[in-house]
Amino acid sequence: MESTLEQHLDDTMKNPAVVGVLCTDQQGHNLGCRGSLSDEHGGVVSVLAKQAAALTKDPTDTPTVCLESESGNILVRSHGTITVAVHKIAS
Amino acid sequence: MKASLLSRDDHTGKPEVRHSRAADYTRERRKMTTAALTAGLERIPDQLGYLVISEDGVLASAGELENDEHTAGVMMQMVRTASRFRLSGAADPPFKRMSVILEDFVYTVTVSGQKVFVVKRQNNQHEPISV
Repeated sequence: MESTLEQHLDDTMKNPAVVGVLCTDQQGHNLGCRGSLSDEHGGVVSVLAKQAAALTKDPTDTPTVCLESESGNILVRSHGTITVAVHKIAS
Repeated sequence: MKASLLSRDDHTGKPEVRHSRAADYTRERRKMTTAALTAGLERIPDQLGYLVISEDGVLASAGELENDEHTAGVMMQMVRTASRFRLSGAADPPFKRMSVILEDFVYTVTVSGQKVFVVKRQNNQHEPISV
């Protein structure tokens, strides 16, 4: 059943700028990950997406959180009940 | 002749408390420090408002974020959450800057000297071109 998600994760990693990808549910449980992002990041990623949602009153306006650092950018965005994080480096 | 610190008020006859020079100096210093904190923020292009927050609360606010305690609270929570994010093997802080991108505007957050700087900017989104 999860082979489609696994395939998507692999496809995402094919982009040379992407060094890590993670999918988590609302509780921070890891649904699948690749590269630099792993199990331990699930909690922070889901909490960050939930906190960012409190910044807008419009429920259709989904925020994207971007953590910029020396080791690249981590982009976090929720899609329904699933939160996706992508770790990108400057290519 | 030196002016005394306590002089009689002409109308009430009660002693009028004059601020000492030291107090004036402290007040002036504080005003200058706040101005120094916000001078750079005022000049940011497309800036709609800003917040300067410390652990004790909001130090300065302006524009659309003026007195916005809710946003200040959420931003502080997010900074605390984001600072727990560690990539394996990385010794440097988890982020230099955090952006929250919404449809119409962007919140940009940086931490410097125990203070959190939040700027709300217009989001001039560039739609991706489809080929």
